[in-house]
Amino acid sequence: MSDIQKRIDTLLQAIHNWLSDDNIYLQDAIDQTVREGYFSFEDINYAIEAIKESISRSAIEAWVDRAGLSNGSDASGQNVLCLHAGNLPLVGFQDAFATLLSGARYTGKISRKDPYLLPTFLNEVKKTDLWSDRDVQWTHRLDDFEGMQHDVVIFAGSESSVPGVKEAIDKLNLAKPGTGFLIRTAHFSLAYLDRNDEQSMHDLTEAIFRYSGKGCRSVAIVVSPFSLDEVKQKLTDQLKSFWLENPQHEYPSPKLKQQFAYNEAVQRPQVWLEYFLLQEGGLEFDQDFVCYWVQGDQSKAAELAQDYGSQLQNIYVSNNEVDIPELDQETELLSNAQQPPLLWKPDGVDTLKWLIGIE
Amino acid sequence: MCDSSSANIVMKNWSDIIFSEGLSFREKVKQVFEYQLQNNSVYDRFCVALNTKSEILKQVQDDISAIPLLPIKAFKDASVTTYPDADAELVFKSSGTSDMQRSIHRVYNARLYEQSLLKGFRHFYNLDNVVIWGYTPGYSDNPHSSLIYMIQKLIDQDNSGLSRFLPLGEPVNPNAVKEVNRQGKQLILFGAAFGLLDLLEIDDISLPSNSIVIETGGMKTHRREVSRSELHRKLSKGFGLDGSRIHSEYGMAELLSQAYATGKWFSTVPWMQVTIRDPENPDEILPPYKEGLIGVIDLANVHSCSFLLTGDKGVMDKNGRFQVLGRWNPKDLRGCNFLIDED
Repeated sequence: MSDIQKRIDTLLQAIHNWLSDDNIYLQDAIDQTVREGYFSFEDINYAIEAIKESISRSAIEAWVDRAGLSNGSDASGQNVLCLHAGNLPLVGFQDAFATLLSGARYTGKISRKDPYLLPTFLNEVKKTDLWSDRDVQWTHRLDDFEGMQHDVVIFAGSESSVPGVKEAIDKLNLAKPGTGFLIRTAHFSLAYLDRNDEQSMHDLTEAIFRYSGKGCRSVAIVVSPFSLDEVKQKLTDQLKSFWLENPQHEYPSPKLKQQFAYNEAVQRPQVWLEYFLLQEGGLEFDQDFVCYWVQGDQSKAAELAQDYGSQLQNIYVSNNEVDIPELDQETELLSNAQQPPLLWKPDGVDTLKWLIGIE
Repeated sequence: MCDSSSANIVMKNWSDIIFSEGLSFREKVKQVFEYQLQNNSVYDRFCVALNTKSEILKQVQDDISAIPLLPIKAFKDASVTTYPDADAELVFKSSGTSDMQRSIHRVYNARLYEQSLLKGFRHFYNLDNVVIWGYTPGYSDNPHSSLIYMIQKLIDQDNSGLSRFLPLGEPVNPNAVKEVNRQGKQLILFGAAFGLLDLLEIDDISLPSNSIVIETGGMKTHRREVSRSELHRKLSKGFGLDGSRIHSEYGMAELLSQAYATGKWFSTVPWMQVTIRDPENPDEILPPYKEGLIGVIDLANVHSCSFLLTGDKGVMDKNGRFQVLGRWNPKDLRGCNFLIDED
């Protein structure tokens, strides 16, 4: 059996053990995460279900094929440092999985905002014969790794956060000359909504409101031929059902009410939802819990995609018939917004391919 | 439409009230607030969306810090005025390129602005024996700049003929400096940060030691950025002046009053008040030395809106003086963003 097949088999077994109903470690981690207020039970379950749905032998093999991973072309011997953000439950899972699949050694800085969930997966990996304590290491404190130089560092950052992170990496001597950095900067996604049927409204609701709107795959701009007023009723009906099943976990600051009052002042169409605000125009991206509605056609969606460039993670369409003109990036289905396939490419980069040095 | 009681308020001589030395700031604020709540529909809608009108009025009676501050961007998105149907005497616009949305401040009483800028300037400087130079484009080229209008009005106060706008891109004429000195006048030079630096690039010029250079901000453009302390150091060296002679002005198209800094901290005129607000909860005033958004009460804005939340970052000392620390940039939101202190 080839090394890659062994890794796939072992990872599938680890995932199976991790997600099995009798894994008390995962159950404890979920309980503790909820008890300490990091995420809601519903959001954690949703994130775990999304991972469960995305992983299968065929999904892993498809990724391996697309990335060109082979015995002669993998990341064996490389040390990969993953700095995981903690804005969503298990947000770092794909990076950890890609690192292990690539054959590299994994070092993880687990987020203090999501401290328990990912380690339960990593523990399952370490229980296997293929990965030892030396191959899979993690901590909640970056300085625990002081002096451990890595070949690759992966993290999601922004114009303002990257310098601080790089400075800490230098200070703790975690990189060496020539270390590769995979830094992701996309912050939000755009949906083009050409239908206002129940299914589309349901998909849009998930895409906007899941995880309290956090996460770069969440929709922050909707472009639609419909005005906000036209879809207001259907959307709020969907949202009521959504919040009944998924009570809001994070609450906006009073600044959101100020934004509502501001929109009233300048007579901007909006929908006030207590924990969230939908507003037509005024795209400022200066606070969470706001989704911007832009009335327009596909060319408007393309124009905004161009304007927001690297800040934009994905562009979703409600069905495959929609064609956004002159768009560099691929579109995804709106229904997949919060359920990414295993091989999805954050910031358009295939992490596995990048790790083995092809991308 | 105004009812009979508000019509009475409209008829008030606001200059007498705003610049009165007999009325307390609190009393003036309450009068202006009630007037604007009744006559400025944009501000009225803003306040009513936050609370009922009667509740707000009650709160403000007890405490003027309960007055809601309208985000200053409203001047871009709406017509912020108590005179929606009247023609403005002056129209000020924020600086920016043609494809940018600019703030528009319609001024219905030019005389009131003139009083504010002159009384304000005299609050900090003696205007009687002063020559004003502006190293900015002239007023005729920029009729919508409140700063240039202000400099023009200051220039107009001097009968010596020495006050003027300096030609851009040309070195300062040493003979003109000598003439100011010969007439025993004090020179005050206004200019935007990079304008003044560009002037020094052309040629270093020593100004008489009692001169004052007032930079009007603009420390960050799309091409260049300089800190205030670095700017002052360069201006001090370039003009051959002691550091204490480099001052700053804080003003904008949306405000009809200015604050001045003769050192590190800005002070306001008596009809203006600055507070530092929590960006996540602008109703909350932050304690001294805590950074936040600069909130302004500018009573000279009586016919637009006097209660404004700027987009500037600032900090205040225990004496009510403040510093401007640039634009407030909200931290990166929504997406995955590894933060060294939080993750």
